[in-house]
Amino acid sequence: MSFLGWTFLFGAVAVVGPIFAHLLSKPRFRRVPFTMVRFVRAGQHESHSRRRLRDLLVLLLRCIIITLIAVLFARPVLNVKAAPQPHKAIHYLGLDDSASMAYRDGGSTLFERMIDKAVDAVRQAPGDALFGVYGLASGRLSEGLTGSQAIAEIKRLPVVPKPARPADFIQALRQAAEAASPGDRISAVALSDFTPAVLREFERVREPAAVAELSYEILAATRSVSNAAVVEARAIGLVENKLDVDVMVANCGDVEQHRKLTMMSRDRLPVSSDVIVAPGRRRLVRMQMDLGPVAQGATPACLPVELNLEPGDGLAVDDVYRVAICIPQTATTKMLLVDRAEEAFLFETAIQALARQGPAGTLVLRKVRAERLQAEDLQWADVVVFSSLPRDFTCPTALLRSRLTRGGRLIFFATDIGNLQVSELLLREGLLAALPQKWVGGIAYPEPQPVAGRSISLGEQAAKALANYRFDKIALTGHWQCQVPTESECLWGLSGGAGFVYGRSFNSGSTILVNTSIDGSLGLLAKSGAWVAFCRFLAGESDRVRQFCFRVDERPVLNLPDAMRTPGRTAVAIETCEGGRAQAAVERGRMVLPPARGMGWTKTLDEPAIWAAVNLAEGETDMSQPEAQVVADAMTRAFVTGAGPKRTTVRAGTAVERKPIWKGFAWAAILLLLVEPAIANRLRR
Amino acid sequence: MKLVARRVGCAATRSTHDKGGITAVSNREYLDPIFLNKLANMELIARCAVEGFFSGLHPSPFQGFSVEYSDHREYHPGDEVKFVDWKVFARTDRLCIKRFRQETNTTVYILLDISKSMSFASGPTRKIDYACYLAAALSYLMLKQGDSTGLMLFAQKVISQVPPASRRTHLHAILQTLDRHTTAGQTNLATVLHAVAETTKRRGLVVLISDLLDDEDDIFRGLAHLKFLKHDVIVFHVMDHQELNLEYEGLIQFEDLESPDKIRTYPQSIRTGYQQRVADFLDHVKKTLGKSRIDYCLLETSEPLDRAFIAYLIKRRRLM
Repeated sequence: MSFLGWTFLFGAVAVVGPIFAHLLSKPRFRRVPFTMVRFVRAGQHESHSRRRLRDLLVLLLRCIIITLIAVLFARPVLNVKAAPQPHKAIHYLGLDDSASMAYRDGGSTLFERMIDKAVDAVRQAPGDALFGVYGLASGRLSEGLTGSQAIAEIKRLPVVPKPARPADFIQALRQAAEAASPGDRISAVALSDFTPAVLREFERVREPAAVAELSYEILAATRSVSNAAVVEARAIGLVENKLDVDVMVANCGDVEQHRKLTMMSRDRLPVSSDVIVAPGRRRLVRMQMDLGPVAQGATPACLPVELNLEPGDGLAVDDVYRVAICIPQTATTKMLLVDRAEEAFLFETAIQALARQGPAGTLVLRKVRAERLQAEDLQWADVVVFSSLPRDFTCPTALLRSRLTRGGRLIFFATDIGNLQVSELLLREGLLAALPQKWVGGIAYPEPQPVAGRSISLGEQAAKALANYRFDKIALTGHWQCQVPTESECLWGLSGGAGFVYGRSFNSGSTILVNTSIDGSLGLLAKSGAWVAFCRFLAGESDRVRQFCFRVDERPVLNLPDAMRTPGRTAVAIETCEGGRAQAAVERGRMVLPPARGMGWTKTLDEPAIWAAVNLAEGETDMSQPEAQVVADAMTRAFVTGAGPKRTTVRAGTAVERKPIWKGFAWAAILLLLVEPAIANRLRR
Repeated sequence: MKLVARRVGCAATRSTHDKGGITAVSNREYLDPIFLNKLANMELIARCAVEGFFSGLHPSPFQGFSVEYSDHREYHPGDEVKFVDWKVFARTDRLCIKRFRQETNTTVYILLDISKSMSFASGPTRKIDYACYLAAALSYLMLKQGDSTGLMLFAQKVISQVPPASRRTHLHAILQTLDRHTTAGQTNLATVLHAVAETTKRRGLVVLISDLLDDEDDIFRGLAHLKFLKHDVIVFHVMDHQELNLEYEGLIQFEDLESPDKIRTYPQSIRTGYQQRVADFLDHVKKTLGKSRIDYCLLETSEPLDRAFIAYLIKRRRLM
């Protein structure tokens, strides 16, 4: 006998309680003067010894109950030699039900062929064999099936617009091998088109599965693959109220594609363009859609745009690409860059790049030296950028305040601490979000994620860009610890507890301090790939064209629009891709949408509606024929055929079966608990 | 006293006893020890008990015996005419009343156990109180019937005694002795009985009132000694209800009244055995005394005294 939770056996120590109580208890008695004590004594000897015996019996009973309860909690099991069981043959079928399997090759799809082959494999197996069916993309697993059940399950498998994840199949096989009885023979069958995406997933397998036998089959098209796909679409900008969208069309087959690309949106005339793409090549096509006078509004609008390749090819599911484009207000943003030398030239370059991306004239940059800064310059600018904290500031601060109250922005880079008195003045006036005070020598990296601000938050694009950016450790010598007023907030923290980006809202305007002291100069960040996205955030997110587009295996997260930001709001009603209703959770100023189960559109039900597109993962469109050797190598890495060493070790020796016996203990404890009062009462008489 | 007698007579519940040829209808409430316990005066207790007993008696064979001429006195108005001695009137022409002196028929020795065990009481009446009522009532009855009555209080030995006498005023001395007693010491019946046997010059009736908590064989030997000296013996065995039945509950520590002996037990667990042992003991006593022609009367302290009286009267009639 052994115990599954043997530590509970220590609970049996509680028997000392009744034993102590028994030893220490002094029965309460009544003194009675009496005459015929000798008559009493004659029967008392028997009574006294019997009473002691009865007390001991009651004590023993209680000790047994406590011990039984402790043993019960310890869950005793009886180790018995397992009866020899007939060895089973278990076949696990990993069937690729990803979107690429929907490729139609002649009269049937790859998926239909795979189903037929899987059914044949089941039928060819011995009659007493058991089966496990696993959908590589859907993750649907059915185990312990008989032949007929397995065939029914195989035929129930649908094609899902998700990438195949063979690593999960390998994991399921490993678990099945551990749970199987000694002598069971587990074999694996993998049926897939083994597209590059699938092979990449096989390469991710770290621990192979030990199987007795492995068979796999590449389900490739018998003819030349004809498949083109829209793999990406990016809104470039809005020029004269015409939306420019760059569309990437890829030829994922072996046949040159002559297709017609059509861009459609609600209430707009579709735009078409002929596309010719050579096999294995990609083609970038710029499409332009006239938005008409509707887009000229104060409120940014979200536009669902659908790109369609015609006529259809072998795989229809990747011929359509969706992208939701947020059209900004088209007012011109005037930026003033105040620098001491030419240290902000990279910022200038980034802003110029942004200005080129956006509608013409919507972003105007003027540069001025700090010592030549005039009040007129400040009056002109919507966004004022100081390349470092000013050493002297002759302009009236009221001017800056008035800009802020009218929705302007102030940006300070804290590369240099500047003049402390001037900085303190700006802080007192509420023009500076934080004041660098103390130099800290330790290395501090920006945190992986920004902090959700109360009123200001980093845009998704900027957050992603900064999260990807890795600061060079050699360049990190220290940073300024800042004094942060209560009105300000840290938008992006450093690992040491200091802040990287501070913000403070000022009515509709805001002031931002970037603690660029961490790398000693503005150069490293400015030279990085994150720079443009970060500058876009600094210039003002709302003044650019944004797009919301997710992969089907991604969890869509959107910034919550200002119009939907109400205190205490925890959820936003949405319409899912399937047309159903759901709730998106509001977390730290963002909407976290439920995982998409298919491709299509999801949108908020509140007006103005925010749209988000869900598309096929890019790799699924690649129908390149795999090389047999590459597939064989992938299979060798993922599976170990023959008896797995680990399994042999674990299952070595006499098979022992654990039979739980706590039910008997439980009933005994319950019975004794029930009869204990009666017995104790009876014995005490 | 008259008031009590009248009240008792009015409230008398008449019941019939047929015991040894004596038909008696007595007021049992009047003989109830609880009632007697309320009467503080021992004489009152004795008179109440006896007159209560006799108030319902039919004309009995005990009247008019043992009278002897004493002298004459002058007749006074109010004297009963039947007591006028007409012979003297014929001779002297004076009305004289003939006076008689009662003769002592027998000598009664009342032996009262006042050992510590007699102080036991589970109810309102202690055994010693009950025994005293019995002794007082018997003394009253005996003296009223002309018997010479003596009293001995004993425990380990004879502690005090009142020599036998038949005067009516002798009752007072007996009652005073009963009043003054205190329970003390252990019971040693054999010694006392042997001592009584050796000191009594005249054979008579020995009334032993005790709980008999002593060695049984010693008791029998002592009583046999008395019987050997031609004494008639009545044993009134006074017991308490709890002594007979042991109806205590819970854990009890019994502490012996006459010794430091103590014992802790659950009486309910030994009750049956105890009752059996007590019954055996009583049966043994009764049989052994019966073989010796000693009358034995077991009295429970909650019972009225009439059983004792009847036992005494039966015995006395047998003596006459």
